[in-house]
Amino acid sequence: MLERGYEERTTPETGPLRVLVVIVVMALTVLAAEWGVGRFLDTKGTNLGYVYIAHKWRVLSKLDEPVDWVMLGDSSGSQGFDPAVLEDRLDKSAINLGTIGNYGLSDDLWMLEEYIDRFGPPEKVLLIHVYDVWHRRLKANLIGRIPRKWVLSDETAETYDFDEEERRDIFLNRYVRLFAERTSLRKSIEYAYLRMVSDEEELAEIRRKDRALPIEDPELMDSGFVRMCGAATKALKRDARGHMRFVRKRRPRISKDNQAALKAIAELAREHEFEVYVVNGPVYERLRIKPEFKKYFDRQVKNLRRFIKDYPEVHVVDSALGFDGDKLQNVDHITCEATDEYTQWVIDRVLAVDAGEE
Amino acid sequence: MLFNSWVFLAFFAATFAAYWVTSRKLVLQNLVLLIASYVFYGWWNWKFLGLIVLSTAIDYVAGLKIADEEDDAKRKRWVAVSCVSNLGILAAFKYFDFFLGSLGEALAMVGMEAAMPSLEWVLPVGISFYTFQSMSYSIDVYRGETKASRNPLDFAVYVAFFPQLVAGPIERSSRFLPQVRQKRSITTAGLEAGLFLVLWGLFKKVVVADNAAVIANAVFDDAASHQGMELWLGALAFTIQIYGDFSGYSDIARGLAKTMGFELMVNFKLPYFAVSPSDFWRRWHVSLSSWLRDYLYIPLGGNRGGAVGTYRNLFLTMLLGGLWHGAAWHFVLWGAYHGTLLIVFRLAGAVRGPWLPRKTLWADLLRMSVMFPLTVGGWVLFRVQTMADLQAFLDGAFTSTEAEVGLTAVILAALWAPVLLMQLAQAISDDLLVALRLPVLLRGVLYGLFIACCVAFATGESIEFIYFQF
Repeated sequence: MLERGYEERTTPETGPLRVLVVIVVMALTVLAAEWGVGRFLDTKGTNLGYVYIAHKWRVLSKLDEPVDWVMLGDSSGSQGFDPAVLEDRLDKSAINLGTIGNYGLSDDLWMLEEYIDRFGPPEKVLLIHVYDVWHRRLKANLIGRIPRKWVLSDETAETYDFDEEERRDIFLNRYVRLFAERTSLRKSIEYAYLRMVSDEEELAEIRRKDRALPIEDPELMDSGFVRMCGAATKALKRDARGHMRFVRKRRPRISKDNQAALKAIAELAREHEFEVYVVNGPVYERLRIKPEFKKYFDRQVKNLRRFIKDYPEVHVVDSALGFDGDKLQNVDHITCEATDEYTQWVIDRVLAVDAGEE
Repeated sequence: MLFNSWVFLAFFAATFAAYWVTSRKLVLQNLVLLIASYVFYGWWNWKFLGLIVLSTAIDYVAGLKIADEEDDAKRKRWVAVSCVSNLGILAAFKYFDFFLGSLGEALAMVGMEAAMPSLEWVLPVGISFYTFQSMSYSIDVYRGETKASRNPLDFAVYVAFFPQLVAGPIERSSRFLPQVRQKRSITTAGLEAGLFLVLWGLFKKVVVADNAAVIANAVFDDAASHQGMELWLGALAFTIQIYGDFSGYSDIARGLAKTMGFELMVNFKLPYFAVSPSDFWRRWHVSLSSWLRDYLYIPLGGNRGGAVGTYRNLFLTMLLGGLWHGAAWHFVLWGAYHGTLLIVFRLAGAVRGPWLPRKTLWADLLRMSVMFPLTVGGWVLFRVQTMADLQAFLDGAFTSTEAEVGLTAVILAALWAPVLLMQLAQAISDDLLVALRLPVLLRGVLYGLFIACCVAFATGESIEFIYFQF
């Protein structure tokens, strides 16, 4: 048998119709693979950013009745603000739609527009962002992950000043995830395999060593809240050093994209008469007390207040809540043990603003 | 222009359209092929197009002279003109610096320092392939195995046909020239067989070879930092890489040719199923090994000069075959290694005793399990860049491994599994195109999966095929 397989013997029985069928089935298979990979990355992917985006838009699309408070923002809020705590304390319903920092405030705006279109204005909107999100520009490829038709429109490209390459990135991220997210796909397959063959201790060790892997698998709640437990001291220290370098080198500013989004949110608040609260995400206490950090943070708050001075509906909370290392996974992501404390603090701040104390 | 690039896709689409449109007029169709082939080659570096044209012109004239001349001495002289010109081009671009550099090093070793001149010329892509193809034509005309081409356009297409121009298969004039001269038709059978070969070839290149290369490169680029099993997995990765890369290229070339109504040689016949070195060379890079047999081994005397003569001829043929792959000592060593294997196995065959298994499936599996590691060992010689790299590999290869290699082994197994599956089907059915027997829907699904995998598991930018450098 091993000495066989030398020749090409088959001449396929074929005709134009058969070739057409082959090509159509081939194209359908590619589309099915694209869809399947997308689903896999959205649910089991190692790039948690994409998992969160998919989850939050899913939560929003499945929402069937209005809520009192809508929380928007980045992953620090996604992992920090638990709607269940609000419900317990004030008997108010809420939804957590925080995604990732690299969107800045852009997807806050898109989600809010979507929410208002379907349910009308909420009572309150929380914008929970880490202090270093405000200077960031929106990354084009991320737009592709937004499940809305307009992401590829000329108007969107014009609004965000996207060049041809960025528009190509948006297209690939939207329609060819097989290619655009192939690095994530590889990592996710590798991780799925490791999960299959490793015991918990081994897996923890692998995760600790490989920074591309999530510290743990997140628990995605129906309220949008992402529950993550387990502190990561080493990652925290590394991250804190990076943040110190950041506050030393940079001057606080609000990027063009964030200015536009914040202004649009403020306009919506004015038009639909709801209150908006800009709150800082949780932060590592040792970083919070550093003079360089305080200086940067205070100036950022000033910038924000100056920017929204014409919008009394928008309030900027001027403090940040610090946490010790045993409750953090990095500088601004708390563990599940600390979410109650952080959520209570956010509620306190909102109530204080409403009472005119802040 | 690489087969695995968007530029090539656009190029081929345009060429195919022009080829189709001109299908009623053979001369025009061949002109389309020639222009496309020169554009394809010139895309890499148009300056070297002159070399192809020169080689084509020399062999075209030589062919006519050999055919028309009645005096055998003069005919031989024209064969010599062809061989010297082609080998001269090859020597100047590929071997000049190597031989003089090696001579300089040898002189330095005996205390005679000498500054050797060097040309430092860029090696034109595919030069080893088209010079061999062009040269074999003159020899075949002399031998009477092919008729001299009296149409320069036909002959130029034979030398420069773009699907196989830069990495083979090295076609024979007796097989290919008649196809250039005849009217060809584009058939749905050819299109589908071509589609399968192109997609399967791309899969082997983009998914299997390029990903195995990541592992192989990590090991071979820094062999001294790796040990034991890590090194052997690196060698195994290269074994997979070079097969996927080269057989992938050949399949794409053959598939593209099929869509246009051409048949190119089968270049790979399940080589890792080989049960002996001679079997391996009947299966690996068939167009080169048969070229070496017909134009080197047999002219050297083949097996007509008794055992010693046969062994000498085998060894010399493999040595030069190794050198054909590149101007470096490790390629020479690789050739010598395979020459030695051929001799040893031939000797073992000559003294066949009861301990040598007879031909049954189990015996073949046993022989294959001996031959395969020997092949992997050969690839180590092929892959290292310098003799110091080889030393580093050998120093670490037989030590124990501290690093975790389980995941690497799983990745290699996952890369090889689809290839092995296809090969088993090919071997069992004794048909390299067995996939075309699948029901039409399954074929569509299979092709779709090839495309999806190529898109999802591409390593990044298009990576050049290994054999381009030869």
